[in-house]
Amino acid sequence: MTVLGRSRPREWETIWNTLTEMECLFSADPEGTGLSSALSNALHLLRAQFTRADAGQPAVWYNLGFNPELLWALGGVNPFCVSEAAALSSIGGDQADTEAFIDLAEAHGYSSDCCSADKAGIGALLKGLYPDPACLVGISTPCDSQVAVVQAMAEQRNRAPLFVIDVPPYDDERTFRHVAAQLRQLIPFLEQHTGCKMEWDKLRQVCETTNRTSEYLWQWMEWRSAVPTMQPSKLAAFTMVLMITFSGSSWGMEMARALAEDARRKVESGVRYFEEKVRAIWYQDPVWWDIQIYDWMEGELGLVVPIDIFGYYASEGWIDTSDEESLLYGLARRMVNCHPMSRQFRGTMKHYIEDFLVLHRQFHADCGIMAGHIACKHSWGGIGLFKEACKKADIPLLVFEFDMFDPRILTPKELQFELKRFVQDIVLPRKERAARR
Amino acid sequence: MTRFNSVAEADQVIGGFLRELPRLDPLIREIVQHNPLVMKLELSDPPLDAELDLTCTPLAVRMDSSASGAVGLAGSCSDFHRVLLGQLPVAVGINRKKLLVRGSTAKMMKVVSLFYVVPYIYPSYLESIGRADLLEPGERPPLHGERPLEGTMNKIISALAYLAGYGLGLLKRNLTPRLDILAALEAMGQGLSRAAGQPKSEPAAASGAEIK
Repeated sequence: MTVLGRSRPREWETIWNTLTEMECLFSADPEGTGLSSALSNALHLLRAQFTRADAGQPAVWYNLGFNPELLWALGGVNPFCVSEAAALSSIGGDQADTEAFIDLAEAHGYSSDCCSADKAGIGALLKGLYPDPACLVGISTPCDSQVAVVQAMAEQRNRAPLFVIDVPPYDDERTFRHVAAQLRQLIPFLEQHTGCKMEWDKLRQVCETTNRTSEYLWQWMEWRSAVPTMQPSKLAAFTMVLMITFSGSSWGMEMARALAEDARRKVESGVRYFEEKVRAIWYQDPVWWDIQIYDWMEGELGLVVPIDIFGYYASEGWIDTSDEESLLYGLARRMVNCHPMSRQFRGTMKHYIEDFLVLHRQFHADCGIMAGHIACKHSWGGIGLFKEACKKADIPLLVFEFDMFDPRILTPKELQFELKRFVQDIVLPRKERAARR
Repeated sequence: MTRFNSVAEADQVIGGFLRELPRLDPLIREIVQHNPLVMKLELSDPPLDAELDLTCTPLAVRMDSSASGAVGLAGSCSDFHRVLLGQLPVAVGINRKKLLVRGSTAKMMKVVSLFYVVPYIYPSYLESIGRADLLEPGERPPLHGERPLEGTMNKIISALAYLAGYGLGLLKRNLTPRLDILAALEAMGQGLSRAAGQPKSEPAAASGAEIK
């Protein structure tokens, strides 16, 4: 089996074939345009990556906290987020491959305490799934685990030159300027190692595409906040994927437009296929080892996730495109204070707790679900403060340990048990009591 | 919309159809691209569990298994019946919460292809067991998006297969209403298997797989 006329690593073939089959399947439903668009644009991105790799264009690897606008502005560069293959294997490929990546990284001595998104990314690197990089961009967000994955990137194969962006644990003006200054230094580094020239006009166009994408994402959030939420919960986390991999590309903009349009159409048509009983802010990593479990939540429990932490697109996402300084400043501020997790998981628990309370109010939620990804030490470290804030605000909160890419930590049945117990024994009786009052 | 009044009826109709599938083993293996997986069906209203085991040859259908399967599909018997008839596309079923799927997406996508083909067989099966009353009128929506055929040979073979199907349809309608379409497909599967150098599945073995 080949992909675009060439033999590829089996994992890529599985992803390509599965996404193609999913696109073929879901495009049969005229009401499911959001999901169909996400699938077709994922295929567009992959097609571009394969084609560029085949043409020998220089690859640049980066980790989860970076957004690729600067790389698109270089023109002939082939950007790869190192966790791309793992995430695609889980969502649109074979979950067994993601678990194999995790096991491979651990077998090579990478700490089992690292985030599975990073371990799976390292496993994909060890398997040689990405073209040899001309250079690497590492960033110290969105979490502490990134330090390990950046080190792993630097240790691979041809030991390509590495540029590290240091993001301080603050969210003030000085931090944005500090990161913007590093982005300015990154440009000659990228030019030197890729041989491609950065055009400021091209960067402006890319950032304008990002701004249009941002508008769609904000519209999307608005439509998803409607009660009842009409679009499937399983799409809620796609903002994160969009920012990491598609940001600044026409595919990302089209995906955001289609998701917003799909949500609007569903709200306006008012046609529902299940009864919404409970609305929860899913406050941590989504379940990506079997994304269909969200359909079970909706169908069996009436539990809807209008938004989660990966789906929240903060207002700091706008980039002023008037000059070079403002472009870099806007990109920096977006990476630091808008990128999901980077925003909430640095420094104090202020953003983490405040954002939850805002989302709970804006999305008319009944409760919170803290699906505690085991590697998210920063959120576990502040769990006492978070619980206290929820208690003060009188918001029921479910807390459990799990892993977004590895069902061996919390099995599907265990997760279903936790959710069922919480919804049926805590939240629904509480809502019924409130309705009687 | 068809409703099944008892477990026995659902088992006779849907279970009976599933138990015919081992006859089409070579064809089904081609459709699922030789993935050795176990698919679990968990139907409700009335309850009916089944397991399609592609890890053995010929494939086995079990109705009494507690295995969870690599992939799972759950829904009501009525909705699954409509999937088999081609009146409820799998994508629509999933998006409208009529079907719940679980497990590896890659493996599920292999199995889903089966539901593109089954609607061409199931109506004949219903007629063969005297349950043509369960055929529901109405247009069939597209079961999948556009799938462009790659290569000239694929196009030629598909055109020939269409002509063969058209011929069978004419024969069935005008000359032999009791024409056994499953038997024709079974024969095609055996030919496919023989040409590929795989051992021909014996009818006895196929019926042996019909474990209830």
